[in-house]
Amino acid sequence: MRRNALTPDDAAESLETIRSVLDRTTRYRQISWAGIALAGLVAAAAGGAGQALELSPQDRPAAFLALWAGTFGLALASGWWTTVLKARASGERVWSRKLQVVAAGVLPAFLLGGLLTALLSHAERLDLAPGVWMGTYAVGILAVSHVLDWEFQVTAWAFLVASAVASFALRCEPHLAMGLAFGGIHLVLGAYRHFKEHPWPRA
Amino acid sequence: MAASMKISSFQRLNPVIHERTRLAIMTYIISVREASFSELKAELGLTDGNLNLHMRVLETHRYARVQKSFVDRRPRTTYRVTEKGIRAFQEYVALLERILKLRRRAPADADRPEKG
Repeated sequence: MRRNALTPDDAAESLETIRSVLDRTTRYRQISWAGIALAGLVAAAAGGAGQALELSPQDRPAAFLALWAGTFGLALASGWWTTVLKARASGERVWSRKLQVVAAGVLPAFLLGGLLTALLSHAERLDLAPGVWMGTYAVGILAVSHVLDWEFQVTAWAFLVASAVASFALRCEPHLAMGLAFGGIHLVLGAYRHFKEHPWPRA
Repeated sequence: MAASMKISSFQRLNPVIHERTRLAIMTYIISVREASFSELKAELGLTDGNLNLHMRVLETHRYARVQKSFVDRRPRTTYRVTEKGIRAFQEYVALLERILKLRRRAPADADRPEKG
């Protein structure tokens, strides 16, 4: 029970309560582990398909772009669907203010990714697209990492490293690079989030 | 000067918002504009009974209003803070700031225990 008088210590305590609650309200936790893992699986499958069908970005640019645009759309849709399910299960609004902050934060990076893709396509240098996509994706995550849990920041840095690897070491293997980065990193993140949300019961 | 400021601050202290849990609830809802019962419960670590109790106090003072609806045939209770609630919250925060400013100006006087 708090005293009915306001001392400076009480005032400082109340401000601390406000500060800690405000900190909590900015955290967005509705990104589902299942959505992340599903996006990883879709990307890994697309990487395998692109490799098997030999969809070279130089020789078959339209097919290369169609494969990865479709993969992006599918991953986004699965992410949205699992987020909706999670928000409904917890009784929260789907298009919440927190999600609006996240969407507004990542959108510029995604638009930049689209613009750079158009430029690379025009210059017939789509072999550079995987590195660019990984880099802009990383920047998008970093832009909103302050409202996400710490593992998303690590993920963003992993994509930046992957961007460098894809741009220099794996430029001749775009599908392998895409499958490893967007597939592998998302699968690891999804698995981590799963175990974070559903820890094993202690023996 | 400092003592008189403290007394006048005490007189204007809003007991509805000053209660720690209600302060957290008001802060949360104002920040996100609208919050569901389950969201408040989870984010603030409250029990059903506890949250119900505090929400009833806020509703009684017309600081918050409830909206009940159905989403996928499941009942959903959401809360918003009213204009009156926002004003009361702003006044409360302004009061906290004044008290802390007072401490910076005259630490010894401001820290003296006060009868409630």
